[in-house]
Amino acid sequence: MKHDFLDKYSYLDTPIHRLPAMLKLILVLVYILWLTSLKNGWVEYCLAGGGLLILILFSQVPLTYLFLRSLVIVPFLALILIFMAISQPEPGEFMLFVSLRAWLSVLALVWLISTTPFPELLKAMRKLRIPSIILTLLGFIYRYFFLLSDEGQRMFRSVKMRSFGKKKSQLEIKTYAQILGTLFLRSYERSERVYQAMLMRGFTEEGR
Amino acid sequence: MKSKWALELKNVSYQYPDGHQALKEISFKVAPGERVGIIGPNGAGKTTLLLAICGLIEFKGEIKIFGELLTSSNSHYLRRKLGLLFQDPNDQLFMPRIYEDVAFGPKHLGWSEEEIQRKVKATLKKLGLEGFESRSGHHLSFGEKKRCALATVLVMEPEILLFDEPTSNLDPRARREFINILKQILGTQIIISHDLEMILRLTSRVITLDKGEKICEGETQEILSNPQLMESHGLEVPASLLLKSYIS
Repeated sequence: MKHDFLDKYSYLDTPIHRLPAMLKLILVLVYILWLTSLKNGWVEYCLAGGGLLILILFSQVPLTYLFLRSLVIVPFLALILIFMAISQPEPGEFMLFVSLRAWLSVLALVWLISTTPFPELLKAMRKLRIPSIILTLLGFIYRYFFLLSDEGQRMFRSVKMRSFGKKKSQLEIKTYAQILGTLFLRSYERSERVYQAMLMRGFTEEGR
Repeated sequence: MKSKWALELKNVSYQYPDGHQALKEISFKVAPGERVGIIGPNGAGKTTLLLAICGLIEFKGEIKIFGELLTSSNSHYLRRKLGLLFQDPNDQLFMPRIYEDVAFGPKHLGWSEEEIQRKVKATLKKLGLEGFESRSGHHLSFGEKKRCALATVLVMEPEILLFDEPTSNLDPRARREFINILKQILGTQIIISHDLEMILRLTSRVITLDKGEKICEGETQEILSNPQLMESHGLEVPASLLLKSYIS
């Protein structure tokens, strides 16, 4: 099973990877804040993009990998842009810079995850006094994302074995819905067992 | 006065919300320091029984842990005396790193940071897991995961250990190593398993369940070497006992 797609390149050994997680986290947060206050101009955005590009090149994380990962913002961005197109009198340039701002922010975050192991990142967030409930949830998401993905992969493999040559795109929507439903049920059952394991180790509703 | 029994079950029953009766009037006692095996076919109610002993499900009947009656109000307190090793270690390793996972229980027991560090280190060393502190659960082999899950249980030094299929899905070497570890652990133990060779090696007494009912209870070798009893409840006489009877 593949187990490395969330922070695939975070265990590389480059000067950027060796930087403290806290420093990189603060750098990215400041960068995103700076982006939000940036004026709409090509020079500013070239500087912002260029700075990030230098960091990416130094970190040796493949550009195509980061680019593809950063496209996760596209569906959300598309929704926002539709509303903007309706509400703004001259939306063209404004929409372009909003898109650039959002995309660069996500690219910076993907770069951060790709250069810092997730547990290190959580440790840095703890030092920044981010509430422990959020950190616990992030930790769970990280831990169980792999298991869920494993289960999903196994189920799709099983579908492949019994779909007799039909490609994924040819399968009925109903099949996908059923697979997702089963995956949800399995996740729910697992969450019950995890909660029981937590109770066995002294966890209370109040937490600690 | 402390009870002479580590664990006492009296008429324990449990019914699933869909009406399926998973446990029917189960009663038995376990002495301190005793190792008891619970065997039975799939769906016999073995795992449900462990969940009831830990107070993780609401059952009918009585369960006493060192003489104290288990109720919903004192289950948090009594669970400190119990350690449950789940069948799937993925359910038990829920933190991003092994250190945090092993330290989870002690933190919730309110131990000092210094004590937690010392105990976590010692437990990992005991199980041959030195250097695993900063590793992530999902990067480990199944055998390693299983040992890490055991570390999360042992670090809290429970008085009664409950094992749910401890050797399932392990390769022969990992299985052998795991059995050797279990052999070295002292204290009261209840082991649920289909691995009857392991039950034979580790336990002195077994309880057989089938369809939620207690079928029989007795000395391990005597019960496991009874082919009629084993086969009528979806089990088999272990190969080592068959060989022994064949030679003799």
